[in-house]
Amino acid sequence: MENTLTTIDLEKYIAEKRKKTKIFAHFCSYTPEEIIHAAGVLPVRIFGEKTTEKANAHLQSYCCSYAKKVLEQGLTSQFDGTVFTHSCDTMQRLSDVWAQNIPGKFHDTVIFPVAMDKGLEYLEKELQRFKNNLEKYTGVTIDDNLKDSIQVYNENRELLQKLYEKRKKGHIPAVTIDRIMRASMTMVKEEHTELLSQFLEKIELQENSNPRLLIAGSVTDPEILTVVEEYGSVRYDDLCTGSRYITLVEELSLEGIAQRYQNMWCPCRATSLSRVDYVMEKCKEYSIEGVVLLLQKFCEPHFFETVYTKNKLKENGYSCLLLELEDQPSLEQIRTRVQAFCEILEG
Amino acid sequence: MKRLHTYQDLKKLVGSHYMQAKTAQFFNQKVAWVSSGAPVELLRPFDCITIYPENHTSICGAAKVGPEYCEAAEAEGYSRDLCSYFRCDRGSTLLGTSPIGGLPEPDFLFGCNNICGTILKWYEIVQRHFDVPFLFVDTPFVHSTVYEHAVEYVVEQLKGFIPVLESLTEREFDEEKFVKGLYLSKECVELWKEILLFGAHKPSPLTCFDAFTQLAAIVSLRGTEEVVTHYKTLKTELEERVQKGVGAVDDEKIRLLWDNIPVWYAMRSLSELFEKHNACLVADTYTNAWASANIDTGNPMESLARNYLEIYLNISMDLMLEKIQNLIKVFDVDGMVMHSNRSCKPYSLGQYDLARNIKEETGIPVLIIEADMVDSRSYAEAQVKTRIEAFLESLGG
Repeated sequence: MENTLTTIDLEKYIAEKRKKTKIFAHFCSYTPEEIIHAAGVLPVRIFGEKTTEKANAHLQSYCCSYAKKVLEQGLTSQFDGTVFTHSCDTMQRLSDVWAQNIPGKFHDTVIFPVAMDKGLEYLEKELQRFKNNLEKYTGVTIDDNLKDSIQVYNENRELLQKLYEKRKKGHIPAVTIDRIMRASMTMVKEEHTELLSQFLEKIELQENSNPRLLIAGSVTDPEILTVVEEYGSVRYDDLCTGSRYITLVEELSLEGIAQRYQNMWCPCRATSLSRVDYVMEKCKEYSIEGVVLLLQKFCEPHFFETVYTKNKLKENGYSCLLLELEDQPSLEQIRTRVQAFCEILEG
Repeated sequence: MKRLHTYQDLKKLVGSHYMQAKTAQFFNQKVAWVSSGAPVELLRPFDCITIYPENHTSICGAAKVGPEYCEAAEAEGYSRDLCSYFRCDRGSTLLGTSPIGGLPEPDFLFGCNNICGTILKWYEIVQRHFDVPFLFVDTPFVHSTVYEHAVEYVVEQLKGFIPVLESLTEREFDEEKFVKGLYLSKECVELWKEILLFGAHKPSPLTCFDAFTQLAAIVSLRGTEEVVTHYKTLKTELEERVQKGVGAVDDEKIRLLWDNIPVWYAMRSLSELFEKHNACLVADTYTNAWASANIDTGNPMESLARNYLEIYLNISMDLMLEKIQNLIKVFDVDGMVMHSNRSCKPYSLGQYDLARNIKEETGIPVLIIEADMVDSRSYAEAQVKTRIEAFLESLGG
């Protein structure tokens, strides 16, 4: 394997895998990938196409660009199946639109509870239902492999946690982290783990005197990360495609998988953990100077949180920059705002 | 449009309900803010006064104060792309006013996500503002069938709320009263169903604009005697119209089905526009969402859970399509008008595919118009009017 994690062409990689392996598309940090892995299927998180020509015939202009971009990818690519998870209203309806327009393949929506603490027992049963459905489709007895699969995922997540730990001591470009995370959500886990451990052995942390930032949001665009890091140094993130993914499964069972989600945070859920408290905890741990909230236009769950989050951060002495990202964001405008924000942080 | 006499009764009924809320404390009654899809029957045995912010914001919308209130929420930092019911409610709270003098403050909140995930986020903000308990009912989405584990989950939650409600209201849970309330609710819902079915008569004695208005009672007062009485009166009035052959629209030529929440601020202009072309909106998917209630006496809590899991916005597009096809058949409509409502994603996303499917499977034409339920700043009136007129002309109006 001559590819390294930061240079690997993920599209080519998937095309190559497709020849030998069944591939399922998915969209969310809550997807129970371990179960899919145990069924001998490769779960690939998709991030969408750049254009939305075909998707525009199915979704209105006030639908978020992420939903449109992934639908475009679904309409133009080949997957053996798709797994949705109940998150926001938009993704819930997208599951229906998807099933109607991309038919004849495995399609399931794991209906996660929204009240995570009350819903634990329900979730276990829902995962069980999903498992049975998948077994019917693949003919594989998932229980035979589930423990091993969880271990495979945990091993990878432990390395990702180490990667995040290193950001306390030095700078790793946010785009590098983003590429590693995306690769982790795309590649065969075992292969990614091998490359990641090589990467961690060789990694050299960079000196960077820019203000230390925490970025929070849903799915980001690497271009935005690059612009943010022209003036700041991202040390931690609270993103769907970032730290939210790296929580471990404690008990190697279906119940353990259900339990894992209790320690994750997503604005679509009623959790005992308040996001802003979690963010502030991380701010302390990573000596963060400023928080950047990245908001995808039309993303209701995130937009509802902003006023409270911003006010609470301010009360506790943290500066906060709110960046609303249009479907085609103006990088120039974002650059100006990030620059001004970082200048203030530097005093 | 010929206004129903029962409209005045409705105004009185709703008005006295809001008055009751303002005096609740003198009767040691608690005021609950409730989402339109929440299983309110659970609160009835506790003598709670139930207030529906969604109903209130629709009143604000009809009174055309939506933009002003929405702007107040936007000034606080909320995005203009968020649900206008939320923004309008938030604005009304911040400004401390509304066409009915603002809502009475809640003692607790009772919200359910069977109509949208927005309810959770909206009510979290209300909870922080008033610092009151929030009882949240989580109803897993229904794709093809209702899963038994989802029913169990909802039943467990409902049972779990009983001790909480007992302590909040200082009243003991009375099972008999609860079951009686369920039957009253069922009676309300069945009467409501009969009322809506009058739209199947030719000419139809009511339009969906009447139904939108009359809906206030079933949403906020179902499970009470007053609503049963009110709907009986309404039913009599409709029967009289049918006997006399009086249609809501003169010389009814086109029969239409409406989809989505009303455009509250444009009710009058839209109803006049349709009437001008002898078109009657005889039914809609919105008011029909409150037209089912099954009760298994042996297991009332489970019946309650099932009814609220299968609510219109908590089901997949396949199941929605089945219901729409049924409405098209029962009400014998010539076309359908869909309101693509930028404030309501669970209702609106998927309409393009639904419209295609309806055209293919039933052959009736579908018009999609862009608007917002409360925020008239997102409504291009002239454009919508032109499109509706072209649509009606193509139908021979």
